[in-house]
Amino acid sequence: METQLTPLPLMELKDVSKSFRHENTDYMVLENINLQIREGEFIALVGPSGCGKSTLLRIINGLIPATKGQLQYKGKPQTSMNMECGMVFQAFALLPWLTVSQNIELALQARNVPDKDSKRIAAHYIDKVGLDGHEEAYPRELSGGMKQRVGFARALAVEPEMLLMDEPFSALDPLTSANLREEVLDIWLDPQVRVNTVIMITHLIEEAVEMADRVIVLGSGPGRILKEVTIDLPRPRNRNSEGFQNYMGEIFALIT
Amino acid sequence: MLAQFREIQNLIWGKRSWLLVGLVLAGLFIFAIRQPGTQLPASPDKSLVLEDLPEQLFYSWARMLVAYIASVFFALIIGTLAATREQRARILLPIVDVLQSIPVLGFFPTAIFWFVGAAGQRNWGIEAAVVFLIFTSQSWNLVFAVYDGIRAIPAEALEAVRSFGVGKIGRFRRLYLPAVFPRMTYNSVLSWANGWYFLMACEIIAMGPMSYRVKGLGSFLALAIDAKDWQAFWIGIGALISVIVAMSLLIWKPLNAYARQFKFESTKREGEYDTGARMLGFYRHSPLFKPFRFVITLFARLGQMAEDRLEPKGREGARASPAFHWSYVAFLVLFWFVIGVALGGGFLKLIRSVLPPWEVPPWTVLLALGASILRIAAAYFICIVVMLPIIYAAHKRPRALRSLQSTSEVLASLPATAFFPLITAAAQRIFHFTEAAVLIVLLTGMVWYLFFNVISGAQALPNDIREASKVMGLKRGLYIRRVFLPVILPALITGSITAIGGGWNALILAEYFKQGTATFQVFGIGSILANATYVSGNERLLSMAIFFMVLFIVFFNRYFWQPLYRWAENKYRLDA
Repeated sequence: METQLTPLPLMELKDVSKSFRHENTDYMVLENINLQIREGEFIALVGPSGCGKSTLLRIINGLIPATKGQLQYKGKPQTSMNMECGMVFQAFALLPWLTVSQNIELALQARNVPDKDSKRIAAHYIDKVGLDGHEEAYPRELSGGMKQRVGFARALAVEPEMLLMDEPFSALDPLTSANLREEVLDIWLDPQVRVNTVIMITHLIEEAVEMADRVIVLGSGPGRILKEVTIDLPRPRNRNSEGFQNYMGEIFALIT
Repeated sequence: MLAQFREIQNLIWGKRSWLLVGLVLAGLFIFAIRQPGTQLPASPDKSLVLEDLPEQLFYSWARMLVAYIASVFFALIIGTLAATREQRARILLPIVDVLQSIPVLGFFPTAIFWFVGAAGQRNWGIEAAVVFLIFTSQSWNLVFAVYDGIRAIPAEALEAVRSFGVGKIGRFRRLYLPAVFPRMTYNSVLSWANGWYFLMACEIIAMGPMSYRVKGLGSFLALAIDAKDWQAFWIGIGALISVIVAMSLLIWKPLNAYARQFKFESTKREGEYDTGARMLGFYRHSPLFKPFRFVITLFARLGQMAEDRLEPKGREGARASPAFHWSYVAFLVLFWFVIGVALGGGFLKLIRSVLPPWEVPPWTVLLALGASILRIAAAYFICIVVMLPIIYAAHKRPRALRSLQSTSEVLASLPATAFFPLITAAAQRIFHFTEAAVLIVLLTGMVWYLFFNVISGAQALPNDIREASKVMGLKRGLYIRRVFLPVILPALITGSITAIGGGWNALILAEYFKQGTATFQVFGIGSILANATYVSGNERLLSMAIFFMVLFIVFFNRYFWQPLYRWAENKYRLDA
């Protein structure tokens, strides 16, 4: 029997910095970010607006290159797009001229999955997010919550190792987002779904404490990690419990 | 008071729309008895004197300015009337649409008849005619800018203004005018570009052997071409380009920066307004511009006074004073009378022109129309094939797209007509083929509309969809089919409609052109129009050619482009 004592982190960020140039002045957005993402973890990035959390997420999946520092994925340097990431967007980012099914199939076609298989896989994930019967609907015929379900199905369909979510619930009404949060947690814990590492951006501390194993608190000007808070609470978590409130208080104090 | 007003509106509009029919009939009558044949005075002797250039440039610019101011007022009146009442839009918009598809030569007889005729061959009549012709190349797109601008006002803003009881004048001043300002500014650049494009055609008024050149840059360039004086030609072009660039920097950019505050949507593209904003700050603070600022404040005051006087406000909101009310009613009646007269007259003239006896039979004209359609189609496909790869290559970098857009805007504002002698000479030398020259001239009249429409379509690609395509790892073919083409499709169709409209207008310059003393022409509707105007002075043939051409354009728009656009806009709009 082999046991790995110190498992390699799935992803590691070493001294990652990012600056943008505008009119001959450099603006530091992120400074010396050091972060380890372990497999199976649910990480939440919280921070005030403008602290660069969106930028950090985009650096992680390779949409934006870092200005300085190093990224390692499974021990190997990551220099381009990480195709093992699925991403969920705040405003859904669905193509309005494609049906629900076509939107999901598109992601599969990009990976050269044969048409027949991609139809089947799409149907499977549409079912998984509770949208069966809506395969042929167009996004504009769906409510916000349903659109975001399509967003999830699309991200999950390519069976990524890591799921990145950019404020996935903030465009939804409170009730819808509460339901969807629960379902996302179920999907994350579902052994049939391959993805088990999740990074989520949120500006709601409550959302972070409810969902994450670890909350990375970012500060602004320039964006940097203020503290990592490990949420040591059993699931499902009770928002009114003392432990929950203590974590909330701790993170709230850090941000304000 | 209000009840009476409704009644009059119903009289004009409601079920008793016979009033409109009556107006049209009156118009028919007036045109039926009108005296034909106004003579143009003899053109003053013109020789090419380079020292006159500044003066000529100023004359042309002043004419453009007068025509532009007239266009702005015209657009504000027609656009607002159409946008605030649906029945009006249903009549006015098709009229404007037809008018904008008539090439400038089609307005020659009208200009000569009304302006030269009215002035009794005095100079100002000719000047007024030229300004009118420039007006016909500037005004139509501004009408649509006003109409679209008012229609794009969010329903909530309209409701808010209504709920505060703001009256007609107040709504116009505080809601419609600001709302149309950004589009007006943007389209004004196009209007000026179009004005310069047809300046050479406008400054030489002709009907058959009669022709009259007014002093101006357009006729200066035409003279230079006739005399093959290339030095004068290039100096003239240089002067023109300097004026265009100066206007862009001193007028349009600051106005664009100023217009920004009136936009309902808050899309900020970085650096877009920098130059304009600097100029704007200068205008706002420099003592040099104190008189201008004073005039603007004066206008604002006058508007406020008019609003207070004519629409006194009470607890129930603004109420129109009797004076304003009745003058508004009188204005509407007069307005529809003029429209009716013009419509009726134009209609009669067109109908008469197709009836025998013919000098040139209708089938020849139809055949010519067919030849021109083929040319426009060919030029259109060349445009598409050249343009799409360029825009595709640029669209992934917002900055590249932006500089491509500003470049195409600058290029579009340079009148390609001025370069025609060079283009046609080069094309003939390279291809030994007049048809090639014709196609290239057509292209210059079409390509820019496609360019900046499609560029703005590509700019509308939301950033998250761009990112999602990258995250999905879409390969080029799939990306073009599923993302790029759908995103630009509505804009591509709008661009196609305007580009082909531009093509129809450019036909008269493309199918019939001069190179020194030689005249080149190919068989087509454009050369028929040009011949009827410049050579034979055959007004009936001119009318018949315009009749068939407009008929085709209107039908093609109505039964091809419009359904296509509705389908594309419905399926490919980006709001989901």
